[in-house]
Amino acid sequence: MSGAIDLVAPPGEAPERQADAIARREAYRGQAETRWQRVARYAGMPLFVGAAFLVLYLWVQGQQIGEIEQRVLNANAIRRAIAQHLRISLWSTLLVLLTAIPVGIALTRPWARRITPAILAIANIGQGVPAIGTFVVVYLVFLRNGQNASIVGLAIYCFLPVLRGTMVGLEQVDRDLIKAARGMGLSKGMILRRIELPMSVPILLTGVRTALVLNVSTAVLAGFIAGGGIGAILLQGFGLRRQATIVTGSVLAGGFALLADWVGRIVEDVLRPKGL
Amino acid sequence: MTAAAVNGKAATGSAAEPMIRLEKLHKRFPGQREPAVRELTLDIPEGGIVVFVGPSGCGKTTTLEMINRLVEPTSGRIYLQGDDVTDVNADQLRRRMGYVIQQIGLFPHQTIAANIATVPRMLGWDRKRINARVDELLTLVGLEPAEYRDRYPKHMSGGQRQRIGVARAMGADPPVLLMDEPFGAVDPITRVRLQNEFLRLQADIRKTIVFVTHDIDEAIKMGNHICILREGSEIAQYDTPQHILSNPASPFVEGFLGSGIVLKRLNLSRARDVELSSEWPTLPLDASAGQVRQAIVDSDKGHALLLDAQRRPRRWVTVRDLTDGPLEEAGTPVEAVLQEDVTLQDVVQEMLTATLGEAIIVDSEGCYLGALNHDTINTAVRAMQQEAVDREREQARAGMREAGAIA
Repeated sequence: MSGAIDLVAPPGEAPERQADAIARREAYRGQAETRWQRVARYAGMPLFVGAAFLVLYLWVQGQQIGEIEQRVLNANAIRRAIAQHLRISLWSTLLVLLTAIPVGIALTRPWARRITPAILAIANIGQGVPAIGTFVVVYLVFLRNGQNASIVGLAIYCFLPVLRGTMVGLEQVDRDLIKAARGMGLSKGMILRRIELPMSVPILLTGVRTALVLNVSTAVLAGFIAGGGIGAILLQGFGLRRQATIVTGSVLAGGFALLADWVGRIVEDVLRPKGL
Repeated sequence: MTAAAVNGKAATGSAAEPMIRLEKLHKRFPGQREPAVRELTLDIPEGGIVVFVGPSGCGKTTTLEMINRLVEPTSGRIYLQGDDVTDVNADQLRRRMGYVIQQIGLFPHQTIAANIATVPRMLGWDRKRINARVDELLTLVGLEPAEYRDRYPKHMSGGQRQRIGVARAMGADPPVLLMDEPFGAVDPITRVRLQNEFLRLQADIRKTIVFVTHDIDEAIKMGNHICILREGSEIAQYDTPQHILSNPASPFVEGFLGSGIVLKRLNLSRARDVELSSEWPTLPLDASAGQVRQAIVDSDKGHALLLDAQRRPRRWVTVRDLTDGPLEEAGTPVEAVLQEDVTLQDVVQEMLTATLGEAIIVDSEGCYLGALNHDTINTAVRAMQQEAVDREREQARAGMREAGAIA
């Protein structure tokens, strides 16, 4: 009998009303849940890392620190190392984004299908070779500047995850959306800008976050090629065989990698298009 | 007529310029021996629905996609409103034609309003005009603009998405709509409702619509003309549904129509086209029990139909139901209530399951118009058959006259 009622019902009645109600309820619950989860997630990580740094500070305060170690382990030196570290990571992240995303877009265009495997193979080398090797090669062969060589070395190392993220993000866009868009007369450029890129933002940003974390954690290696950063603290700690310095270097390196991940997640949440 | 149909001209009887003309359109995909579409010539008249129907793989979707050049023809010409559009900018061309696919393809990251505004925005309309158009279209497809404008597609049901897909296709008021199995992905109940709604809408907007389906029943219901295609997009028959059902051009068409042609014909007629029976005594809900009893006794029907103040059918009552209680609760609630624009097939379906074997027909406001039962449908079907026979005879006679004139 429901068929009879449905046929008479004016548009938007009965089952659709139900679907509406369900959708609205889900949307509401979804928002309410993520709002709390989000607050917890957003606050949790900095609190944890802050606590770790505080414990580290108190522990170092309780240690006997010699004069030589004092030269490495003082507020000014540490601040400078952190600034260097972040500068290297951020420039390299920027460099990766500016190269890997356009290449990723290009490789998913139909005209590039043939060269895609070759480019991927090259990008694979960048990640397959141990990062330290890349750093040294860049330093010795191209740039005799520790900091710049670190930036380029890191960019090569992180190129693949961002490239992959971009390509996977673009390739998973529903073909029906693109067909509908084409059928309405959107040009190829419009489809890329208005449909493909926004729709691939979540996956693309995951690639970006991976790159950011890799950059911040791998930037420790800059210390080996005179690029400075937290890696330099660690190296000096090993060189001097001072436990406090080694621990400080590793806790700082780990803490900032975690914070980078945290920033990446927030960026993902903020930039994710609504409605997905 | 057969010759005309083979030439791709529907027996429209008018010499007006077709909205769309396909001329020797040919498509062979690279790496395939057989062409998907072989030298198809076809005229699509203005202001009606032409349905391409055929077995899967017959090339109907390829043909449709060549009209807006999502598929570029290997050879042949396409004309739109008399202009050769085979080589014009394809993106510009597509903005002049609405396009709806089975999967709809609403953009999930855009609001309903932004989705509908896709083509107007590309055409550079100003914001005010776009907003007005979006609201107009939402209203047209039966969705309250204030409520739905700012929602995202994921918050809509399948039927609503389908309506928005149609609204989006009509964004810039194109003269042509191309629809590829537009109602294929919704449940059967919603499908029937969307079909009826769409036909109601089309009665107002009178667009030229090319509609692809594999479902012959849908083709019969939706089409002003049906183009039955077989492999290679070869036209097996191109004519009105009435003619195809009464004169299938070949064993292939007959086979494709399948069994139950009489039942299929029921899909061609609507409740408003047949004479409704008004034998049931009808009384207002505030009548007295005595009046109702009298009315039932005076008729020989055994039941009376009670209508509310707006003349909407409410209850069936018998003499035995007339107790002291209010009439609103006496007897049984009415069932199988249908609007006058449903097809006779819908009527039969509902009638068969209704207790009294009666379908009640109401107008768009829900006011009682009359009833349909087995006898009235039977009469209507016989009249239709007679009509088909008469028409065939007339055509045969006309054919003989023509032959005589040539001789």
